[in-house]
This record gives sequence, structure tokens and C-alpha cells, in this order.
Amino acid sequence: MKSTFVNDDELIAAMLRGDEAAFRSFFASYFPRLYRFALPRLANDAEAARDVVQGALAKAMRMLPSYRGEAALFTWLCKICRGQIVDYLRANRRHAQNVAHFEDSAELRAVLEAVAAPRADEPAYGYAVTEMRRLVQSVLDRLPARYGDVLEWKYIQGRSVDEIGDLLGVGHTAAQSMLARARTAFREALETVFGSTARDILANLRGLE
Amino acid sequence: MPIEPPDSHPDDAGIEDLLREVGARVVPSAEATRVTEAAVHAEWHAMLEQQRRRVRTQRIGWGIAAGMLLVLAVAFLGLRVDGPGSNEVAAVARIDGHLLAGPRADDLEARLSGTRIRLGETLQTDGRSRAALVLGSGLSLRLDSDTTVTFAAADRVELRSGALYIDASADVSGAAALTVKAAAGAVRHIGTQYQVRTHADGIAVSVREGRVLIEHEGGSSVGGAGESIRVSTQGEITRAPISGQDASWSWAAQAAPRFDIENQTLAAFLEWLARETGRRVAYASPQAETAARTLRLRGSIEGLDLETALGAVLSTTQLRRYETGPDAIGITMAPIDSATGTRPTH
Repeated sequence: MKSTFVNDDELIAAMLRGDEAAFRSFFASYFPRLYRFALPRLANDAEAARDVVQGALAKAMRMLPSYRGEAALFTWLCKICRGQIVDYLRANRRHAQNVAHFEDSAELRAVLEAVAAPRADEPAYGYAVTEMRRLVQSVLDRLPARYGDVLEWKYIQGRSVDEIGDLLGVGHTAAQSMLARARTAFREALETVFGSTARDILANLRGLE
Repeated sequence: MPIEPPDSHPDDAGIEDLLREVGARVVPSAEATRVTEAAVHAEWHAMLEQQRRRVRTQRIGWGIAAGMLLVLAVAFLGLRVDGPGSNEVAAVARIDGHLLAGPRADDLEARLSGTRIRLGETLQTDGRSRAALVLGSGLSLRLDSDTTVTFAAADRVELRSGALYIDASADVSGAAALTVKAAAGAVRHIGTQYQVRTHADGIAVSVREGRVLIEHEGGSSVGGAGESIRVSTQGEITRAPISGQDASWSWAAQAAPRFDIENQTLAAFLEWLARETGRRVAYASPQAETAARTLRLRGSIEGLDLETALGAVLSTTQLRRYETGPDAIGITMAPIDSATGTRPTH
């Protein structure tokens, strides 16, 4: 059984067929990313982030047959997660007796989303060092497939290509090729978000410290 | 070891330096990952099962249409078709592993969840399987691993080996009592939860709730809640205390048909879980009880063990557990101060 899926459509199709490897790949790829998406929106409350992401992924499972691939899978999951966050924040503010329903108040939802969304997800300049770091990490999470993990394994954890291949369940050549694609995707994403190269962003970061 | 090619872009070294500078991303804890994966995996399975049911329903729809045509054809031709016999005594509610069944003990076939069991059929689980049945009366009958049992009558089963657990909840009438016959005696319940396990030299009957009547070589004996009665093939009786939370009950909870939480109240779920684990629900306050009785659940606990299911369900509510003795599940409102204190909303 393969453990790496080329794209979201292939992954979802395999999950809808009941492929356990596809589920494991989905969870390994998206749970940590969604967790990092939720965490800053919940004031870094790890327990709340876990609850919210669990709810979001459970809802995503129920909605999986309706996923049509119009948006990237992570974007779709983030949208569901944002709804869960709003529900969670409202429930914990009001201590309501019943499960809060998202559609109860469109105004409240808009206000909470505006309040809860961290600036770090918006293309911008002039951030503090912490926000810059988080924005770069957020870019990694937004990369397709497991590119973010591959780059982190290689450049932060110092793993070899073969070790990365083992983690992905692919051979040396495929891992090397994925690493090259991940670098390209990351470089392009940085240019889109920051309008500059990695080296310039790094210089900027060091200048802020 | 293959040699990695040099970076092919001038900024690749910058990428490496930048990533080292920003450091590793936050990762969820192993415990959070384990619990969440179990819950999401169960939800995924529930979705797949729902999809399968939908497909089956569509097929059944076509089957009914085809069947109606057949009936019309048969009527037209003046033929008579006999319906199936009405000697069904139970339905398979859940299988962990495999369940074999058939009218002859030496010719058993695999059965699926949802299939009917007929009078005279023998059921068998292997060392890695368990099963749960629901009898027509609503009584729940569970087979532990390595168990062989035959439905000798609608109200009598013959336990040849292994163990059975019987749960006759309050809504199962006394008239529907089931007799479990084994080599060392026959056990009849009087509104109860109990299990019968065969041994080389007799049977052990453990009573969790209510009473049982045991008929054996030496006469008859009554066993009450909290008692484990060992009956030898010579009719000798030995009694020992057993708690409702003893580890020997856990297989029955694992084999239990899963509670469908969708649109059920939290209180109904807690009461089911308490019964399956030999405990009671202890609410810390009337507010907590009211919240549990009004809060409706969504999702599925399929694939989760009962303690994980309890944690997963409570984590989506404003209710939490508080420490109690082993015979209770303590439920309380999440402290308002701590909730606002630890989960600020900016």
C-alpha cells in the first residue's frame, strides 16, 4: 500500500474507498497543520486547540463525500476549523447550556472571525520578529502535499534524503525529487507573501532582532 | 549511499538558513495526536458505513422493484411462493473479528453484523473474536472469544464453551427471561446483568445486577448482585464477592454494540456508558444534570474504546469529569473562571 498520495483528489478518493493508508497519510499531514492554524486563534491554549481541531476534522470526515476540490484541501479544512473556533469561542464566552450553533448569529460570527484571526496570516510587512517567524512557518503549512514537513526534516532536523524517504514511504529518488519540488514551492510562496527572497527575509529578520 | 545533487537555485542556501533561523513548527503532543486520531478515525469509519448503507438502500430499492415484478409474474402464472420461516430468535448487533453460525456445529459459515439467527443454530467465536446479539425481547447477549453456543429454544441457549454475558435492562420483561444451559447447570436471570463462563470442572456465574437462579446437580441456588458463584459438575457451590467494575466484565463492554450518539442527549450517552461499565452517573450539581439532559450530541464513537469515547464526547461540551470512587462517573460543569482564565478570547 502506498503511503504518499500525489494530490488531494487522489487522497480523498482513496479515503472514500476506505483506504486505511490514505487516512493515516491524511491525518499525519493535516492534523499538525490544522492544529497550528487553530492554536494562535485560541490564544495558544493547547487543550482548546486540540478540542477544536478534533471537532473540525470530525466534521470534515462527515462532509468528505461533498468535497469537490474547488479549494485546496487545507483551505477547505481551515474554513471548517474557523467555524469550529467561532463555535468554541462563543460557547466558552457564554457558557451556554446547549451546543452553540454556528448559524445562530451571522454578526457574531463576523465579529469573532475578525477578532480571532491573527495578523500573521496576512501578507504584510513590518512585523515583529515573532510574527515574522510564525508567518514563515505558516507559509510552510500552506505548501501542498507534505512539502513543509520535508523541508523541516531536511533543514531543521538535518535528516538525510534516505531518512526522509523512509518517513514518506518512498525511495531515495522520489524523496530527492520531492525535496526539490518543496524548495521551489516554498521559494515561490515566500515571494508571493513577502515579495522577496529567503535571503532578504532572513536579513530583515536579523535586522529586527 | 547516493550523492545528493547540489542546490540548483541561488536562493536555496537562503532557504536553508531561513528555516534554521525560524526553527521548527509547533507539534501537537503525542497524547493529543493519539486521542484525536482515534476520534477522527471513528468518524471516518462512520461516514464510510453511512455511504455503504446508502448504496445498499439504493440496491434494495431496485431489489424491491424487481421483487414486485416477480410477485406480479408469479401471481399471473398462478404459482405459490412460500415465505421464509418465522423461527428467527436473534439478530447480530456487532462483531469484533469473525462470527460463525449455522444449523450444524460442524458446518458453520461466517455471518455479518445485521444478519438473523434462527432457532437451532450454533454460533462460534474464535480466540480473537467477540460478538453481540439482540434477542427479540430486547435482551442483549454477548459472546466472549472462544465461545460456542446453540439456540436450543427461543428462551434457552446451550453454552458449550467460553462465556456469555446477558444484559436484561429494565425495559426487558421478566417473561422474556433467557436460560443459559451449560454442562454443570442451567442459569436463569431475574432482571439482571450477569455472565456465565465454562470451566473444565463446571461453570462460574458472576452477577453484576439483579439475581440469577442456578439449577445444578445439587439442587438450585440463587446468586445476587456482587456475587461470583462457581458450580462444579458435581453440584458443589463456592461463592466469592465481585465488584461491578471487576476486570472480568471488561470484555462484555468491549463487545457491546456501540451507542449511536447522533442527536442523543449527553445524559442518555452517560447512562448507557455507566451501565456498560457497571457504574452510575454522579452529577456534581443540578445544573450539570440539566446541561447533560438538554445537550444533544453529534458524531459517532464507532471504533473508540469506552473511556476514550467518554473523553472525546465530554471535550465537545461544557461538562467535565470530576474525581469519584470507581463505581461512579462524576460529571460537573467546567469551572467558569478557569475556562475564561485559560481560554481567553482576546
